Amino acid sequence: MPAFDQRVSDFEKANTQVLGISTDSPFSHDNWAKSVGISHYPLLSDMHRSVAKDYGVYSPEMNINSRATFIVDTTGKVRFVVKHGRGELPEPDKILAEVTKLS
Amino acid sequence: MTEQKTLNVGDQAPSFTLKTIGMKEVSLSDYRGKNVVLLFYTLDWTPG
Repeated sequence: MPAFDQRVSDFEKANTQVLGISTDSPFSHDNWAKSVGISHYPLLSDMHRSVAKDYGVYSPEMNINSRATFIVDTTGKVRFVVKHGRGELPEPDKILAEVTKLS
Repeated sequence: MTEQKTLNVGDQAPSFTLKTIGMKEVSLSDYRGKNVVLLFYTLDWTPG
């Protein structure tokens, strides 16, 4: 996630907003973001797990969302989905390449 | 327990409004006209 913070300007050049989502509170996000150096894109709090369920990434076993990346286009349509395995992180270069394919 | 629906390529992205740092609200629709990368990550304070 900090890896994306360093690349936000590259995504902006591609007319793209980056959003992070987890089930943590805004207070947790605030502390964590300061700790790891995330300041260029918002971290959202899905505390009711409703967005995780809507996007099909809710893990009942842990009562949190699993790791996944979605790309939504300018019209609000899902154009790319990848679910990440345990310990796998999304790579900014790969996601940026997918974004640039859209236009 | 009901089966969790899976969101697929081509589907309309479900709208949402969530709070961010400072208790400000952010909606997906705020970014209409831009592409949006949604990074679902497991928890703060875990690797990545």
